[in-house]
Amino acid sequence: MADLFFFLSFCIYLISWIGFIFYFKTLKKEALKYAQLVLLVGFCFHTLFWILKIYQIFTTSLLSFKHLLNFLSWELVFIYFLFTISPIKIYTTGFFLLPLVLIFFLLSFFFPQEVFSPFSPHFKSFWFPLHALTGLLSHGFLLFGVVTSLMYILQEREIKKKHLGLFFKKLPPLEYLDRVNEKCLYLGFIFLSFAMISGAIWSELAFGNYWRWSPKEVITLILWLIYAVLIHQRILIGWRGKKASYMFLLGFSIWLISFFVINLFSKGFHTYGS
Amino acid sequence: MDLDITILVIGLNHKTAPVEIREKLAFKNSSLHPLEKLKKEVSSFKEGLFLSTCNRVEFYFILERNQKNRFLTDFFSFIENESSFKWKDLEPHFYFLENEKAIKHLFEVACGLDSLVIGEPQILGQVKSAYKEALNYRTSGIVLNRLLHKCFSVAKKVRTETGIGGGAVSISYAAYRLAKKILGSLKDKVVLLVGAGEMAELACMHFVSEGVKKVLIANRTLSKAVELAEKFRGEAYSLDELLNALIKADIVISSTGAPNCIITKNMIASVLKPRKYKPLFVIDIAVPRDVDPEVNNLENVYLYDIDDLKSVVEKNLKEREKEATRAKTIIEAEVLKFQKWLKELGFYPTLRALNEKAEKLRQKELAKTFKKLKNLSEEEKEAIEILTRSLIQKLLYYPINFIKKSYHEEGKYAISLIRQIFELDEPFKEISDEDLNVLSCEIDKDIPSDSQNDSSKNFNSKKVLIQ
Repeated sequence: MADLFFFLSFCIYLISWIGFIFYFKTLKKEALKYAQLVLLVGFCFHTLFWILKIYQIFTTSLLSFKHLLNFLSWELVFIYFLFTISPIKIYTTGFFLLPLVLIFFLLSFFFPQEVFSPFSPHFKSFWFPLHALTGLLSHGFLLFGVVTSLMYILQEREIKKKHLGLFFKKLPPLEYLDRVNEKCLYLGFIFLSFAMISGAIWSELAFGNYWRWSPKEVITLILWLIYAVLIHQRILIGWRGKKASYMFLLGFSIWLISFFVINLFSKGFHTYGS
Repeated sequence: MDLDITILVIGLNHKTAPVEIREKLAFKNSSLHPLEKLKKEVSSFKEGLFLSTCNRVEFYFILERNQKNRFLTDFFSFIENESSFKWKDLEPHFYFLENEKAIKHLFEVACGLDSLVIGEPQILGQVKSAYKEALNYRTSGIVLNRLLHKCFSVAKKVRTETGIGGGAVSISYAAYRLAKKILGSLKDKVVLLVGAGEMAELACMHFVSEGVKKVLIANRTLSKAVELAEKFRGEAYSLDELLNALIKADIVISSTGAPNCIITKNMIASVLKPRKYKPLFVIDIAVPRDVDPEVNNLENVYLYDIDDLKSVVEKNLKEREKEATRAKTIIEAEVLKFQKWLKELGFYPTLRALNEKAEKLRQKELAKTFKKLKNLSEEEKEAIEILTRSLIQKLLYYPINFIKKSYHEEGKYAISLIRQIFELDEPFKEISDEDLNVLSCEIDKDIPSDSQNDSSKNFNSKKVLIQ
């Protein structure tokens, strides 16, 4: 059953992306309406898939790395709808966001089942699910911010160089993209802080120490610091727009290392499949 | 196409005639509307429409085909009377388009394809008001009504399906669009005018009409700034206080007559921090330039001078021209549709007359029958109604189908045949029982076939009903 929902939501997302491509080309309201409707249907199936999956994870106490990837794609669509409801209108984002969603889907499909979380025995504790969920949410907002940052940079370049081309015509105003960036930054930071705190508490309960300087912890701390600096500069000095967007890209590269390299290949705490 | 009517456009526009001629023919000075005058002086047209804008003067007429020559001579003398020109001098400036070309021309005009600035939207409104005038003076009839309504829907279709109206094609609108792209909603933004000249005022109009939060005006002579500030309900600054104004502003429009730069890179750089690097859009429409071009290199500051804006406008115009070819294909399809309607117009009155006649007969026969059969329930009455109606519809199906099918090949012949057969052009005459009897006897004699039995049966049953 879960496999069926998995397959269905992937196909529907793909169709929705085609709709978004059409919207990007023509900017027709109807195209957007249908693309979003299809996306919503896909999201419903995806949510059903996750309800079944979470039940399965808790009964078998086995969390595979591939599920994390899939959960990220669910989150990205979820965040897209969050911003669709909010007054900031950034519809063309779907065109850029869905490829990322689909890539995560494909990755999670081809990833071997056997790469399990090293923490499988500890699911029943209160702190671990909190740690995992907030951590993944912070990743979701970070990734969404990366997408809008990219859009910002593409468009800003055209306006600055007075070369008003494709992106100028299709993308939402710079100000809106920047505001979405800002929100993603704050929310991502809050969730990342939660993830670190809950992780530390849980680590204390389960293993007897709060912090052990494993590679994952170090790189997450770096990511957290980048966020913290960015927020500080934004509020006090006014780092925004291009600078903030490039910082997001920097954060993204660090995240890539933390999520894929360290989770899978480093030796130690947090390593999956060991 | 075999039509009795001709659609005719007589007109001149910015391409064919200089403004001295266009203004004379705009009929702006005369007290009477040209359509009213035409109606009095030239009676040989069926329907008429007069369109006059600053770029064109056009007459649209629906004429009887055989009256065309008479109408043209009447019209020429009318124009000679109204303008002080001789027709010989005017003729090379006029264009004459008929039927298909005339329809196409009207559609193109309404879509703005024929305008000075391609795709400008005002022309549609002007066509609409011209149509209203025609309705007012009762010079619009069945063909023009249909044509104009079609034309409005074509214009709407072209506008939504092509990018003919897309992209800003004036400097001030291009600046406004850019500002929207950079700053998003302008409702909470502040505009700063540097220089209180007319240029700045004009450029500012778009922003004011879209409802910016506030307008600040900085000028060398403060009194002028105050004057303009009152107009926009804004704040006035002198040029010495420019830095303070720059801190508050989101959009700067500069248009002073100063010989050198008024806003330097250092000035803007110094306000960036107090502004918290909020984006700043600087529009420099002054020549020589007011703003140091280096300003564009500062973070979150976007500087567009008059040439930058001009190149944006030119690019948009080129794109509109591309879209115009797409619009033309849409228009051609719609012209074909309209021509089809015109063709149908040829036989439509016949179809209606046929239906009316049949209905009249049906009602009479029904009345007779109901008179005789008094004890019918409502249901039975309704059943008879339905029966008679469907009988008529099915009988009429053949002649109607005949007209529609053979109209293209045989033209009016089909129509006149049907009109003769059903005596549509003669006054309505009751068919008496005697007529029927005579006819049925003849049938009995002439055709000794199977159908004879059926028909006599039919008559018998009818007689029974009547009796």
